[in-house]
Amino acid sequence: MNKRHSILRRIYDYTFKTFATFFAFLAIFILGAILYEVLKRGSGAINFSFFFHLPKPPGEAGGGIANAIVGSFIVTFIASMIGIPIGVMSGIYSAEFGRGTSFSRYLKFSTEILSSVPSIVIGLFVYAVIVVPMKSFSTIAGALALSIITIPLIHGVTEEMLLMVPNTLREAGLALGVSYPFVVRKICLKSAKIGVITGILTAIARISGETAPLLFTSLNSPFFNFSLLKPMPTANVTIFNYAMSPYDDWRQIAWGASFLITVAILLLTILSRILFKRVKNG
Amino acid sequence: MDSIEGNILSVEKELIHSGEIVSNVELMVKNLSFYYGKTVALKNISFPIYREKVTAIIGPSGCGKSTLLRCFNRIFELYKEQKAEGEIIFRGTNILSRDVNLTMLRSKIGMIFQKPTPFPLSIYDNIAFGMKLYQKMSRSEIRERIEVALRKAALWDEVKDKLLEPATSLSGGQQQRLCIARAIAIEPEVLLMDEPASALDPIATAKIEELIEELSGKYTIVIVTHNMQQAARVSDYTAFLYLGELVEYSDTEKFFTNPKEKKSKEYLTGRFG
Amino acid sequence: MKIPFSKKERTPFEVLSFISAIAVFSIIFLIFFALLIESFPAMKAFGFKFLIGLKWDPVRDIYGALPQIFGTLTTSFLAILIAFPVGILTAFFLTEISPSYLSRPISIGVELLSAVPSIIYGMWGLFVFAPIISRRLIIPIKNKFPNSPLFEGPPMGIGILTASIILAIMILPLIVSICREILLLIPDKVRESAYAMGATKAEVSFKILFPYAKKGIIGSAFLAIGRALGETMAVTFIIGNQHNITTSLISPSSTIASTLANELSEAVTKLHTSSLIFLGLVLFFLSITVISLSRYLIYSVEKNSGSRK
Repeated sequence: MNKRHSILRRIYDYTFKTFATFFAFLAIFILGAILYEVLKRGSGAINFSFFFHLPKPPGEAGGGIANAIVGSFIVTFIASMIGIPIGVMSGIYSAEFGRGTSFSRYLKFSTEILSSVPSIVIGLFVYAVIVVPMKSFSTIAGALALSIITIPLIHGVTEEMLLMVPNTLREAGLALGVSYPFVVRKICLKSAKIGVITGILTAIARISGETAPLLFTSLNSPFFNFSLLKPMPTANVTIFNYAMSPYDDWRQIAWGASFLITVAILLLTILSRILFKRVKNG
Repeated sequence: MDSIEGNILSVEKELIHSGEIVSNVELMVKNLSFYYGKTVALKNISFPIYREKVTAIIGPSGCGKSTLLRCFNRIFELYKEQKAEGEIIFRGTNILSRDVNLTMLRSKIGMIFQKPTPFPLSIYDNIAFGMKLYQKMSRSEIRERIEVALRKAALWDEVKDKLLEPATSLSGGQQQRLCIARAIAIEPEVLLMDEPASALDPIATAKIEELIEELSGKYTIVIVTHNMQQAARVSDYTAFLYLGELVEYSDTEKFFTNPKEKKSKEYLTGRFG
Repeated sequence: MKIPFSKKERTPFEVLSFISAIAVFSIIFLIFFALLIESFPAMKAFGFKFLIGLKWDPVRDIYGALPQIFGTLTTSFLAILIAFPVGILTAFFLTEISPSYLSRPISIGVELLSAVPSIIYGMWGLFVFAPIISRRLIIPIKNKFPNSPLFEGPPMGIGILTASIILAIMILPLIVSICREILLLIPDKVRESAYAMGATKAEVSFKILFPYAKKGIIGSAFLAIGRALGETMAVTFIIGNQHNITTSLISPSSTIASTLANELSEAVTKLHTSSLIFLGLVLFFLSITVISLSRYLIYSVEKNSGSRK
């Protein structure tokens, strides 16, 4: 045996292990660094007026983003109300009524492509079909853009969860003499429920972090807005506008808003993970 | 020659174990126990494996025969919860001790698995892979040794014209012989075979058995099989395991014609297993 | 199991499900046609020259997209160059090296890294990371190689290099999670037989597992590139947003996505809006091409491992 060769092999192996270990820990270190900065800088900005006041003009101290926080909730809520039923229903079609058909194969492919289309392109699409004809940025445009992002995610998870439901369950239901749609609704969906909810939570977490598709759909506003047809302030767009501004007060508020959405999204992600573990363990 | 190897040889000369003629013993299993987590899979097993002979390990499924085989090259260590206790002496060294160089150990003790495991490489590269691990060689040297290995594995004539084709294009039996060639190419002293023919059809099986017989003069072979006829056909010694314990170890002929233990008789007559 | 879709059995539930399916199916085409129609004015005005024009000038209403296309491709390329080796090695760490008590928390950490929204990367990149990069990396390099064309311009810390590193961090989780899944699909017997020959972890990983998983791993890289191409907020924060083509890694630039983010809500002329939408169409095509390629590669891996038994 060649001694030098064997030593080289060992060095190669150690180098590999060292680098692999280093990179794995580097990823975790970066996560820690980001969370640390956001928590440190953001927590300073969080106070009573941050949550309950309207933005003040630059130069005036204080002010908050109460309108944007409310706005984020409204836009996300409307987006979910549009995206969830459509996504779930088309997922049901893929896995149940249209299972095995070539249309459902095309459907699968088109949703997978859709899920990877950049979110800003989806914003652009809504801008072209809603904002331009209506000649105004609006809540509904923002919500629609976000809902298009949720649809392929919810569709995919619904389909996947329904496919996991064993056929024996369907057969048992049909054997009782009930119709197939009834079996789907009362048996299949029931047993896929937690998985689908997990997917919905993940999708909501995803759109809570989206900014790009809102920039030219719901835009922003310094006031409260409860109209579907007017520009709507959101926390994310506020971060963008404030961070790019030259005023320290505003940047401070941008960090506060970053803190808020980071915490919200991490909580949603962890929640859906816990739920998902329950699915996996049966 | 590697220094570790040199050490082993010098120790070997001195080693005499409980009156047996040690020079004929390649591997000495002493008080070996094995655990999957807290479950005991092997209980206090001891027996010798003779040099350049075929030793068969038989027993009903779940008796621990594969587990035992996987101790000889410590491949079980890939899985964190598996643990072996006791000793396996190979050339004077307990191969279960922590400071054994696993790479060197595995170059001396090769293994063939139940299902053929060709790597996703060409036939040529499959064999070259192992050789290149241990030595720097010129192209012509590699080619030469690949041919030798393939000839020893009785595969040369079938593949000599398509060495660069993917190994996965071979039939199951050919793949298994390729795996044997791959192991031989490293020039090991011991070959561990874990049910090497159980995934193959009868003709391919016959070829593998033939090959084992041919190889037995040059290598120490330990073969695990659930097929009693196969053990009787190919092996010189037989170890019979039952529920993690070694029930009987003896000459194959003796074992099959005149077993000592009641359990062995029952197993041979098909009472269980 | 296929249940006949006979006419008399159709319930409202079934019909709704079918309508939703058709709606979902058509979204992707609607996006394409809407963008196409809205880009007509720009197409008419510039034609093919739009794609190779060097000037993007809203003031004089002249639009050429090459600077943005260049910026998009360069940042994505640099990002994958950084993220790919890091990602594959991390995946190898998780599946081949790490003890199980470490691989779970690290996997979760990587997953959380992908949950951090784009805009947070932007904030962190602009206010925390860019100054560090400027001080610790760019200035030392500039001192050492004062005339390097790769490091020309003021060391502000914002620009192509910083944007690419941030993009690399953002696409890293994607690469890690897909590679990890693909590596886990490889049967243990393959690893065992390689280790049984005395191969080390490095040899098993690179010479056996990597060829085994090659298609899927490359697929994951393409998927990551697709993600990087359209990444908007983080890049908009740190790329500097200047429409120019440069060889300098530290000079500001712009991408398609960052240009859209910055200009669309303030576009005044019809031609400006239309040119921006045309730009979006280019991005749409770039990402769809890359993503389809990656889906194809990843599919073929999953199919293979499904039929191998």
